[in-house]
Amino acid sequence: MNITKTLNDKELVITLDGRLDTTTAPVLETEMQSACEGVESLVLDLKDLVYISSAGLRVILSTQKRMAKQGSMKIVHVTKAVMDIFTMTGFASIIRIEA
Amino acid sequence: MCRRYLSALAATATLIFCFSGCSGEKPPPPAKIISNTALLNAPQYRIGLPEGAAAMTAGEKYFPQAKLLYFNSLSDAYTAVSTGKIDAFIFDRHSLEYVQATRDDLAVLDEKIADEHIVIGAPPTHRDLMDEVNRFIAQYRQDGTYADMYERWLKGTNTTLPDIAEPQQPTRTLRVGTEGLNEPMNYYGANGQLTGFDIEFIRRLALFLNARLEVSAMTFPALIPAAESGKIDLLIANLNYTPERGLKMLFSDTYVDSEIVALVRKDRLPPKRSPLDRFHGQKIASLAGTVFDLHIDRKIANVQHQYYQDMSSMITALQTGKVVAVGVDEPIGRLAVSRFPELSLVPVPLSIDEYGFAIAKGSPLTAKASGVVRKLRADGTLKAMAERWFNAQDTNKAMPQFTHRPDFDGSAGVLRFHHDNVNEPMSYVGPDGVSLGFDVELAAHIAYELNMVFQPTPSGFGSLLESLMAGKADMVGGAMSITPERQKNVDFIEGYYTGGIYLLERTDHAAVSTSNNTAATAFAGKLIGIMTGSSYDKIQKDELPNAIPQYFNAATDMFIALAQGKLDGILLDEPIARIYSAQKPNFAIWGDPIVGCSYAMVLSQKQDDLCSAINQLLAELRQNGTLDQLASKWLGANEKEKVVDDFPATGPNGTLRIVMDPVLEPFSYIKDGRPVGYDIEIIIRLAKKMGMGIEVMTVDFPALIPAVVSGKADIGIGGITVTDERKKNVLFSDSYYEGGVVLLATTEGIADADDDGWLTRRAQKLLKSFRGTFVTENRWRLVLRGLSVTIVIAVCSILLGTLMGFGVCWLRRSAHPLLAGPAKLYIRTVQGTPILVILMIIYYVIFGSVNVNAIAVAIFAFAVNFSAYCSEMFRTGIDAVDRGQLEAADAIGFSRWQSFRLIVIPQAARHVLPVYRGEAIANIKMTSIVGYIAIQDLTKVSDIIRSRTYEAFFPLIATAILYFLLAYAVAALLAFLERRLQPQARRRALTQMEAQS
Amino acid sequence: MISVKHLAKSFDGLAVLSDVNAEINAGEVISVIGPSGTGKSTFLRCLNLLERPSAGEIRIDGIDVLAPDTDVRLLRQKMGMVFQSFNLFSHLMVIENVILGPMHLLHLDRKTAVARGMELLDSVGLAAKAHAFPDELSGGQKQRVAIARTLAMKPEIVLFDEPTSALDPTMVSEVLAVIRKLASQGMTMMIVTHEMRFARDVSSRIFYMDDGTIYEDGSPEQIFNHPKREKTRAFIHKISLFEYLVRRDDFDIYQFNAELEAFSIKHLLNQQSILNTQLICEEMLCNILLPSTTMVNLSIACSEENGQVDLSFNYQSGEGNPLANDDDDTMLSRTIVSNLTREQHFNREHNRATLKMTLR
Repeated sequence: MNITKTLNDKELVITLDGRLDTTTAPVLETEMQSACEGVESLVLDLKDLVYISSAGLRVILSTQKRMAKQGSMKIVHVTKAVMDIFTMTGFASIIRIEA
Repeated sequence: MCRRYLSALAATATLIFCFSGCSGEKPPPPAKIISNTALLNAPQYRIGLPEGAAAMTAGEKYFPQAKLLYFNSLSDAYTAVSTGKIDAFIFDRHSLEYVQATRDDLAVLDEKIADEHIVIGAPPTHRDLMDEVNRFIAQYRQDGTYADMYERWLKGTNTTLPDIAEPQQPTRTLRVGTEGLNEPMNYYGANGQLTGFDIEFIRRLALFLNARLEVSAMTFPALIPAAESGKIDLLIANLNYTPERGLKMLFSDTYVDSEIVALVRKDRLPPKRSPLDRFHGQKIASLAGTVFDLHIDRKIANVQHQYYQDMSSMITALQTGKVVAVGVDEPIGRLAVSRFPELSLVPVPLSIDEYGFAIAKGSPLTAKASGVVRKLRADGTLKAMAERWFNAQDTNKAMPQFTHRPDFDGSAGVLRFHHDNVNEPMSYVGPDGVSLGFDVELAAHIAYELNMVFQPTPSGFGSLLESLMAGKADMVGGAMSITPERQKNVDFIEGYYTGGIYLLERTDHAAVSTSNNTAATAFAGKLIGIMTGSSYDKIQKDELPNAIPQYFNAATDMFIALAQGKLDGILLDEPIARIYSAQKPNFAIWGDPIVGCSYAMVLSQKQDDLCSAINQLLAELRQNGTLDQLASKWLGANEKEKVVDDFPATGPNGTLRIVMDPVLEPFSYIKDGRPVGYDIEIIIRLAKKMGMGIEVMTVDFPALIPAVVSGKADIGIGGITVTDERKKNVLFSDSYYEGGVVLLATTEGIADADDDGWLTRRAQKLLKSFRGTFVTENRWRLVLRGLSVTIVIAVCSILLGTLMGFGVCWLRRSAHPLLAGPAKLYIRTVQGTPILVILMIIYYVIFGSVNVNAIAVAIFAFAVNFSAYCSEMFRTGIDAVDRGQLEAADAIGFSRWQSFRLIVIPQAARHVLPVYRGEAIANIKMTSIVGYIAIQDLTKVSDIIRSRTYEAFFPLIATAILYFLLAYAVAALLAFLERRLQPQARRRALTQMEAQS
Repeated sequence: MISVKHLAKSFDGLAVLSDVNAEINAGEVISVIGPSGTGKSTFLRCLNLLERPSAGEIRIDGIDVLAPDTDVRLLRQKMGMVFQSFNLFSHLMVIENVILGPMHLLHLDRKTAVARGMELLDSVGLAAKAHAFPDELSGGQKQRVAIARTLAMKPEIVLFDEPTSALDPTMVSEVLAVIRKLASQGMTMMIVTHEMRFARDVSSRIFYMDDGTIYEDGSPEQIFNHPKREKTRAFIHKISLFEYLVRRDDFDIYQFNAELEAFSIKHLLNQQSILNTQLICEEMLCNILLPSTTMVNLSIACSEENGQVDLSFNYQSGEGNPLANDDDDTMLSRTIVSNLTREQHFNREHNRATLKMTLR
């Protein structure tokens, strides 16, 4: 999975490309811990994410919790398959998802 | 493309240009020294012949090239030789030897030109008389009369007609005709009477026949008609048999054996070689005051005399090398040799002298003393004395005491004997001043026998005669030679010792410069060329053990190697060496022959009858002089003469199959494309006699004897040496030439004739080489013939081999082990055997006893070899074709043969052709070995040409170029085929075709 | 048309075919399928005597092929064969390959043969390559030429021996298209193939060969969907089964995913199905099963008929259905699995548990 970070002032856009699964989720977790320093607005761009498993969901959840302390987080450009996962697991209501 | 080949051609031409050899031919002027009679057979010599005599026929026969002048008068002829008008006069030996003895400016060349048989003629009706004459001849030979008469008349100068009784009561008359102008046979003696050998002969004959002798002399031309017509009963006048005469008169057996020889002026004789020759120009020591130097000068030229006072200093000079020899009296020499083993006497004396004591002229002492000497000689005392005095062992020599005459009292007087004081062992002085020596003892004997007191006085040699003449001595001596000079002034007693003046030299000096040992020493460590399969191997090991032998298969290569300096010498048969050294100024025979040997023809041991026929012929030819004549012809320098008659290939009684090495001049070689030579001439005569044709096969020398042994040929010729080793396997005819083995070496310095520039010279040499190789004797025809043979063998064997290869390949790929097994064996065997061995096996073993055309055999042999490689090539090519395609073809419904033809062959051919091309070219080059089975292909022809021109480069390079062109042609053809087979080529053709249609 | 009775063939004592019996009628398109080494190609090659049978009888149009006086070449001309390795004549151009047989065996003149050849090449789409040489063509082109060459002989039956096995997957379809066209034109054909989908589509009959004989013979529907006999079933089943032994201590999920992906592609599953299958497996294995058990036998079956994907997890356990648990750790995973699958079924016998589900 490729992680691309774009920092616009206090807004960090993280674009994920590939799969977020049990092998790649820990990588994202580590990345998030450091990347989120001093970020007020975190945007996760998932337009290139084709696959997400429960491991990925947990990372997103923990990121959400972190960001809640210092700002906000939202997910954008979700594919249908991933959206299905968010929906069936109830994440759609926990996390701010925009089109 | 043209440009590329042009430059290649230019490069080749330049190469040849640079490497061309040289040869030059200039007509020689008449030689000052006539070393052998064969030399005379050349246009620059004038030869006198006696008209009507046997010598005339002989002269015409053996010297056809010379300018011949005919003489009626013998004395005119002799004068002509003397004044130089003619170089030589040919006549009977017995007459000429007489001339030699009586005229000191003329000499006989020892070499016999021909035998001559002097016979007596008679009218054809006198058969009975002739029988009686023959009986007399037999008797006079047997009882020694002939030998005696020969000795007297022809060898000696006792030319008195002995008294021979005349028959008391003759029962018939014997009218004999003779000439009377032929000293010493029949001539007018001092008293005007007819005398001579012949005269004595007929007197004896008359006695034998109990006939009254009537002798009439007439000129020779008149004698024959007189005999034919019966006017005379017998003709005796140096007569010899000729076929024409034989028609008209009868001839007796030979009553005088003579020879025909040549008379030349003495100064044109080759100098006699003597062991003294090596002292020419050297330093030789002599005793001052002796005449040794004069003696030396008489026998040896340009000696540098070194004079010494006494013997010991001369010996020291000899030992230290200041002089190479010392002139000594024989006894002193003997003593010196005994005392100093490193010295030896040269066996040829400079003079032979009798030693005697000098006594005043007219003295009665002389006779008395001589008597003593005779006595002492008779009772062996002299001999005993010599043994004692000349023995070096005995250092303490002393004069003996004479006690055998009880009545000696010395009352006859005193014999004052002066003698040389330093002439050991003849007369010298002992350590305490006592006179010692052979001479002294002899003088003492004389004194004792004459009852005189002996008073010896040592003196110097120079003063002995003076002392005598001054009356101070009665008798003097000391190895004093009795010479006419001295005899003018003194008398000598009878000679008591035959000594002489000899040369004393160091033994090692002698060893180095004497005959055979010289060769061994001179060629130690040097390279000597030897023909393989010849008998020279053994000769080299025995006679020149320290020389390094280099073996060659062809004589031509040896000569070239020698000319190029790669060899120091070649062991050769003498006649061949003679010819080569005559033809090529830079070759010369070194020293004396190493060994003598005889040449004969070889036959298979089963051919006894043929061998006998040959021997019979040889005996005839030898007797009637033909052999000698042939030898002169073929060993001479005149090339134009060296031709033979044509001979048919078959005769009514079959064909004689002859095998020869075609480069062995003068015995068997190729000239004008035909076999010629001394041996060939003999064979032609043999064939004619036996009514057979002749078929000549040419091989290299090592293959000659095998050819005879295996039955491929009847007779092997070519100057083959008779050796015991060979006798084990072959039958030798009688020898037809006695030769020897000599060393041929190069003389130094090859003259460079022209002053033209280097380039012009090269161009000239190139031109000469070209002419020599192609033009001379129309050799280009030979080359063409050889080339066509090569082409035929190469092409036919390739075609046949390819066909056979298909067959073998088919067998090899067969599933049946009975077919594939033998094919595999065949392929492995042929591939593993060298082509030369295959060729020889097929020729000598498989077709050994069958008479097959050699070329057919060669084609077959090469085809066999080629087929093995072809078959493997084809197999690989076929197997390389994708098996799947064959299955597809099967599935479509093609037959095996169809799929082979349509699918396999086109693809296999493309795989095979490049390799096939290489193998075909290799095969072409391999054919160059067919010379081994007597085929004259291109390579063999080049050998033959090389053997005539002695050039290595031009013929070889020309041969290489021809092979290259042939191979190139074949390769180009195959390459063309390859291109045509390429599928892409068809596509172009097809698309073009379809575009048109 | 072709009658085969008790055909047997051994190679070096090894019996490849032991008792083959078949009747092949005109117009039939028979695909011969089966595991490797069961003699499919051998059977085919016996028909045109590329292999000589060890026993048995083959009659073509009533003629005994094995009789000594039979003209085998003539028979072979009536049967065409297309090989796995094409076997074009490499020294001849394409058109020459096609006209060789007709000219030499059917004795057509060159012009006619060329005209017919060009027609055939055109029908396989290679008229433009008439003057090319085989080594200038791609594999698919070569095979099509091979087919044209076979057809040029006007055979009554064409035998195909694994015609696409040597081809790049991209070229397989062009050849199969040609064969399909032939079938639709009514040509009698026997095809040995591994292309199951193709075999299903084009054949009128399927021979499943196994045990040295024609093990089962039926219509494609029968063989693929309802294989009667056990080995048939195993074969059909096997080829659409993905089995994987997952060990907790060395589970390489990358390799697993790759193999799963390969299997899925082969069975023409779409991308989303593949991802979903992977997701199910990941959740099941990584989060639900492996934490508590060391080994899981996973098998995924893909049905040819309806593309249904059945997953089966077999493992050692003393517990009940893990999907029925209610713990928080596995909640997300269970949710995902439940949503992506249907018909979850759990069974435990003694210590072995089997959890089956079907992908939605």
